[in-house]
Amino acid sequence: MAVYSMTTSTTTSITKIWKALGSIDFAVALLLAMVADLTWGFFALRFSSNPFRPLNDLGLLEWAQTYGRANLGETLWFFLLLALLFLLAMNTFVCTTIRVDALARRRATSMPAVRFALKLAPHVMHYAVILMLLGALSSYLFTETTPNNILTVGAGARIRPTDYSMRLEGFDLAFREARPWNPRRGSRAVDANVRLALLDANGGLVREGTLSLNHPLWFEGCSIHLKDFDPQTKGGGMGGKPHVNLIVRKDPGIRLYLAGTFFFVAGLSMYVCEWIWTRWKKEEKS
Amino acid sequence: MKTKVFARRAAAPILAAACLLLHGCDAPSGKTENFVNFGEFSVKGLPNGVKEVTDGIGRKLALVPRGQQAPEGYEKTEIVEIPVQRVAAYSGFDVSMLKALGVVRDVLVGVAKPKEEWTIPEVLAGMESGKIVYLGEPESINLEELTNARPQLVMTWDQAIIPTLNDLGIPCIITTTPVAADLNARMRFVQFLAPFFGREKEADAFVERVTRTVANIRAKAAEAKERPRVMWGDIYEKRVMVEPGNCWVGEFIRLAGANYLFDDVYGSACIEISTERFLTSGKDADVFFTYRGANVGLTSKEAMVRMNPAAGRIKPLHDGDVETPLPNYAQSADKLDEILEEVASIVHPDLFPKKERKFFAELPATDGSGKASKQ
Amino acid sequence: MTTAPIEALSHNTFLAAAGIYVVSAACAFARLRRTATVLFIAALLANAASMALRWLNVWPLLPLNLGPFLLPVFIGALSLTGILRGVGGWRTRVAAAALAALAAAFFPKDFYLPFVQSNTLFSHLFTFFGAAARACFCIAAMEATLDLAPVLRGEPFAPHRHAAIGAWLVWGFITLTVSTFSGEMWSYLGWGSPIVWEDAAVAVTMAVWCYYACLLHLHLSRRWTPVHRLAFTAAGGLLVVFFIICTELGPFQWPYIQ
Repeated sequence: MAVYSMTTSTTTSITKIWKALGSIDFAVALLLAMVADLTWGFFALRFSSNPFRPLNDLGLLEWAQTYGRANLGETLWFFLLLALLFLLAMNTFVCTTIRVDALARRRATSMPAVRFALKLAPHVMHYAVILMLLGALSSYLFTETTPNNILTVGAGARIRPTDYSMRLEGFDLAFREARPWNPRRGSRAVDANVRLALLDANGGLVREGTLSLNHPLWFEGCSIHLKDFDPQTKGGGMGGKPHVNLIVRKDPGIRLYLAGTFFFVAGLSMYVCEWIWTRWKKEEKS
Repeated sequence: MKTKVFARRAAAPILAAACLLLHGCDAPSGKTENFVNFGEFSVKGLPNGVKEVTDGIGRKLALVPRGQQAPEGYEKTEIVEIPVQRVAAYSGFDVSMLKALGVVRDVLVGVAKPKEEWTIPEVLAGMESGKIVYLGEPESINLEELTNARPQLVMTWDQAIIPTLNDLGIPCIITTTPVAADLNARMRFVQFLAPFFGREKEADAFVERVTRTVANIRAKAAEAKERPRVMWGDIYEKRVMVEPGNCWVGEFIRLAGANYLFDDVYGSACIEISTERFLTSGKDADVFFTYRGANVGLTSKEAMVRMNPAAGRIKPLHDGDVETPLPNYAQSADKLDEILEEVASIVHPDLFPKKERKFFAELPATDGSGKASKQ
Repeated sequence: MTTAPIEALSHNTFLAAAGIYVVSAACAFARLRRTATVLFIAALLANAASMALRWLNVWPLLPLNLGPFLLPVFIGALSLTGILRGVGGWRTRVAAAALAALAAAFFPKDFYLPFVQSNTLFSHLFTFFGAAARACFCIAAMEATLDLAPVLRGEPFAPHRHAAIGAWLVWGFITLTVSTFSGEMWSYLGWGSPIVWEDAAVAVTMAVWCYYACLLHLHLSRRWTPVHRLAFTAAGGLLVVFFIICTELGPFQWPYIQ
């Protein structure tokens, strides 16, 4: 009898916690707390020496123990944000699961398939947010970044953390054409087409690849991004040898993050369809 | 009610996690017991007296006590044996920082400017005696000279030299940053360099001296009744470059009791902005500090207008001060306190005692006049 | 002078647009509806032309700090049907566009030169949809304030524009999301990371996104009455104005013809 009573009481407590965790009022409170925290973050970023610059290069744990800790007055809001995001993810998961469960029960009785699919839209967005948060967390925890790989033509560098390496074969600058209404526009490069030889641990050519601004090269689980190049003007430059600056990142969380983004956009599109359809129905009735 | 219950239950693990993450978080800003950052530069203590430093572009190097085995995970050119005994340095700023540490005479072996361009007595003497060699211009460093100089470290702003130095097996540090250093980072850069040479005490003394000067200037500037408007940059034939508001220059101008006209500009030191903005701000300026001096042909306000007639539209060119740096300015970072005092006395001659000018000269109105326009 | 002809033309066209917006607003409040409407359309066209010239001048790069100049275009374009029909609150929208144009004219921050890393469609989408979102939120806030005014005077609550406000909020949230995701894609392709915590604008954009995400959930809670939600919508306008629009403005400067 006592065991039964204890089990019932535990189940009731769990149910209470589960419901409280998924409550909409809790979500509102969390979102408002995030607004306040991010506003604090806005001021901290605007009027500080900005210790966040190395965050993407170091990863969350190392950054937290160095720049984060050493500049706590400027970074505390960020740690608070992490805690709030964790709670928001929990709240979103529980709240959405409760509602999807209820929706599925209704669907079993009386809802057409298309309507059901459209009704799922907000829930797709909510689950997508969780995916994005998980992806971002994985990125911050597990990404290995080599931020500045400076290469002159013929020079090479290891593609960390792999054993492969890359060698700069050359790069061509892309210019815009000068126009009569703006003769200066022809003098500055707008892009650089970078040719890399990708080599194995013994220096053997695996393949050649190209990259340019905003068009990274993917190789052996790493993405190689063109951060900068010099010269950027015809016959000019900073004074040193022509070179490119590449960022190499091995980011295991990015796929999850991008998948979350994709599902969010899909959910948003479904939501818009459902919203327009509902409005149209209402107008038709009235 | 449910929310309150949950909040109480959730608070404990969150606080515990935060404390675990941040344990020992009572350290002053920018510093913990084994980590300190000066803007983008940082020094982190590792076991066995090894230090990991981060240079201006985020490259990590291990400083290993001479004779001790280096920790794993660093390439050969990412390991620097300390104290460093032979250094090649590109810029006057880097060399003057070595001077602040009191090591320039002992360690400097190569520079990237010819003798005529140096004003630091130790460098001139070293070049005369042959101890310090001219390595060539930055874009065409003579690798044979560099190899012969046998530097254990190269201090440079030129990222493009890194692959070459890697091939030669010479470690290097980039001493500039993508975002301009603020006053604190500028003052404390010397503390970043100190572990390379085991000169932490000298670095601390330098920082203390400059901090005291800044505090004095700040206190005196608080009495200012008017805030003159200051701009710092230059207008070339086709381009305009300025010091942004986040730069140490902007920060100092503000604390010296003046308004910096590019306060809202953010970015790297010597950032290019639109000519229109430069001219608009210049209409209100009282003092204009330029990058160029008489040694590169900027001999008068008239000469400046000849180079770009648009410059004539800014107020200091006809009714105000134009201050140009003297050749030793860029090589006098070891006298940062004196530079700051001189800038303060230019901006507020009413508050700060007039001293003999060492770092800046007032640009005369015309080449023949030899005196400033307002005089 | 070093200003290119197209830059001068774009600058002067915008100033003309700002001037016409102001005259249009004056006519609107003087109850000269037809004149106000004609002038408003003229201002809108001039404003749009000015933006097109700026874009064309630096394409495929992104003209920087364009937000304040784009805001009146979006407020105007999105309100145009309402203004043409003379729906309630049309004068407020004309005035809002004029105010936004004046702010951009007197507090310009367009002095940064375009940078090469902006050479991607995502950077343009980020800017374009970001400005659209701000306009939607500003219009929603104005409508909400107009609905709230009688309540504050002690009259019973009558949500005339309730559905319309909801639409502005939804479209604002959608465009803000598209803008944010475009920014993230740009950041990922350019630098390898979707979020970079260096810029204060990132924090405030996320704050605004959370605020409106919160607002869109309020109807699910019984604690939040329609009046509360309207007040929340109106307050959102303040958040957008002070933390996004104002931070994109530069120092005061008298407008001048180039």
